[in-house]
Amino acid sequence: MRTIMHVDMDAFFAAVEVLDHPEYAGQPLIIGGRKDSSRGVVSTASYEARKFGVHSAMPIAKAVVLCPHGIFVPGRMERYQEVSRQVQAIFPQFSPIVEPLSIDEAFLDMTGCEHFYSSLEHMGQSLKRKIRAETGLTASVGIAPNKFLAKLASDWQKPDGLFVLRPQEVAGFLRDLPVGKLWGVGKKSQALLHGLNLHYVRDILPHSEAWLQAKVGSALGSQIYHLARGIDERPVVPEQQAQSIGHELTFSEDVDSFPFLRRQLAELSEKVGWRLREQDFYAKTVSIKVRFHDFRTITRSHTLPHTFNDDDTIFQQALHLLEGVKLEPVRLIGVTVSNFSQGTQLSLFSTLDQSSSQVNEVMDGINRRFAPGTITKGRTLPSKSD
Amino acid sequence: MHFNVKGADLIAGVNIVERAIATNDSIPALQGIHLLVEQNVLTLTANNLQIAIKTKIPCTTLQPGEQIVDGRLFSELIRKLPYDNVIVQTQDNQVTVSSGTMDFSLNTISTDDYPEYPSCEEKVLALTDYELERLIKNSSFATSNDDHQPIFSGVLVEIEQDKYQFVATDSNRLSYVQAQTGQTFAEKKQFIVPKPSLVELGRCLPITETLVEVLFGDNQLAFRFNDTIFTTRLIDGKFPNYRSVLFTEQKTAFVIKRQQFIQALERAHLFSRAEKVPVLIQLTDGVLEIGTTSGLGRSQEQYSVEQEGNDERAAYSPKFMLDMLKTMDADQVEFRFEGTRQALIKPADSDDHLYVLMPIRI
Repeated sequence: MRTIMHVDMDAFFAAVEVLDHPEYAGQPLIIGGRKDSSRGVVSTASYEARKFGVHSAMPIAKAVVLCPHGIFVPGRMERYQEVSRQVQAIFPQFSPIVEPLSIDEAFLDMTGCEHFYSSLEHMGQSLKRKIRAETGLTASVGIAPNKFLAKLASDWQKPDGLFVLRPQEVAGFLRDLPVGKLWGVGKKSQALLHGLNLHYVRDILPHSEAWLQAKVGSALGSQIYHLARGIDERPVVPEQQAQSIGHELTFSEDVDSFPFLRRQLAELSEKVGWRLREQDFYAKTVSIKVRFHDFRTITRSHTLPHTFNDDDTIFQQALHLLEGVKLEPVRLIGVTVSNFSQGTQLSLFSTLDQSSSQVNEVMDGINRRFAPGTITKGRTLPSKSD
Repeated sequence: MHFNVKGADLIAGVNIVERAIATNDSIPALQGIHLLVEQNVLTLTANNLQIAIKTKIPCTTLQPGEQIVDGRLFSELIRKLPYDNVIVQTQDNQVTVSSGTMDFSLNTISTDDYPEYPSCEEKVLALTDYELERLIKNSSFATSNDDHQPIFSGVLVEIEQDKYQFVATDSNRLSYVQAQTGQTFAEKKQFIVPKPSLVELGRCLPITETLVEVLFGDNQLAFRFNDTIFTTRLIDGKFPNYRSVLFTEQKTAFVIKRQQFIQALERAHLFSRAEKVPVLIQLTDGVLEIGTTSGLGRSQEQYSVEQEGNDERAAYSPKFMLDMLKTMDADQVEFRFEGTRQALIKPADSDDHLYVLMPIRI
């Protein structure tokens, strides 16, 4: 029997906004665009806004009608990703097998780790407490024998929920669920099942697998036959290690000032270096991407004989690559590092890398404590001449 | 040119010089073997401008002379001859190789462009082929493959008083090996020899307790043994001061059986090699822990060892450790380390072979 934990951050984007703007607390908050946005779509609505019928994927214009007093803010994806990384950094402390599903959701295979906790509830509480302590956010946690059930469980008592589904409770839990809750059953399949007079999980149970397959197709038929019995053998698949880390920037108008591009490169290098170090990687290759005014896009890269994780090396290499590019007005510029390894082999004869990495360590400490970008190198700032 | 030679002698000679045949050089003569026939002596020479090798074998001379033949062709042909008596002569601008009822005519390469054999006149300390092979084996593996630092692609051959010291490094690890010669040389001498030259030299050595004379010339170093002289070009430049990194005090040490250590690292390497993750060496209260964690899983081994100094832990490249451990001659090895300083690996009972490697910061 496996023990799978599903973690789902509560109204994640909205929660991050409240974290950064405490005055939004308790207000109906709608992320996705300003009130007058004609094309925006709701990406997240706070629980307060959901009471007005606002939900994700709804056009902003419609949300405005439903919830005219709501606070409408455009999303800050970068910030959400940053908080998401903080959350994801917690998971490995609980289990080595973590499958991130999206920016605010993950499965943890806790099989074999049960004895570290007095109960499964205690296990879930520990994770929730840790997330709360390190990010100030709440998560809903479901613990069950497989992924399907764990995901249902985390949804059961949202927000700030914790629900443990034990094997003996599974059948009773599933019986009265609408078929739409089964994994893989979307709007179309749901209509198909309703047409067969199958509305609840309990309606599926009397039928054989062959019957279901004949009615709804072999893959879905087999899937709902097993899911209705609480059977789901899908493993928790750890995310593939990142192959590269990059940042890019699109300018509102085409740019041909080299000092300006150099400054952007410095800033991008700092962002890339920060993420590289946050993930405890060292890289060997630096690449730049340049998109010109006519959308022609080029990439240039250079591989060093040694590994690095400091901003200076990334910036120097990126700058060197940019200097080799015949410059025309630029609309996008990006910096990427790749070719990762863990740790860096120290050298017998050079002490050069020491000072640069110490500077990064101090800067990272400050940025981690306050916010990324709190402290930065002077080369990212505009000079008087431009 | 006309001579009779025993097939076995000819093959033995070609075996030695063919290591200096150029592969695909723009000068055809460098891809050849030079045959020089004098009074009952055949001198075979090959020279690719990096390495030059000359060896002499006995023959029956009918007419002195010289020719250059394609090295690969000549070498493979004479190996495939079934009879032990071979006659070689110049006929109509070709070299005819005859054996029994077989005749082969080889086109020749002009001797006009053939480079002069590099001269080395200054004798330094001689040593046995055994010792020379040991020096090569225990140093050359540690050179760098990075073309940007030519110095590190070679092995430092240093003569100091009565001993040879061979040192190689890729700047992350350094191997030092020394051999006493029983003679003394007044001057301190340093030569940086390309690694491939030393590896080829090692393969030419007879390993019969033969004395090898060492001579140097203008940017060249030569090794003379039996009827063979092996000459290599040197790398120009200044080798870093290896003494400053080699002789340092690491406070913590343990001693372990070499085979046991190798096997433990090989098992850890199974987990670490794909992602090149380091192996953690941890010493706590006389217990040595060797372990690694990667995407494949985790390895952990414990050994009870003799501990000297404080508890300590550091991570290293398992490949770097294995490179050294596999070439060294000792049953017991001593491992000395301290924080982010270089670690020292050496035979427990000798200082003839020292190896330092830098840890991996994780």
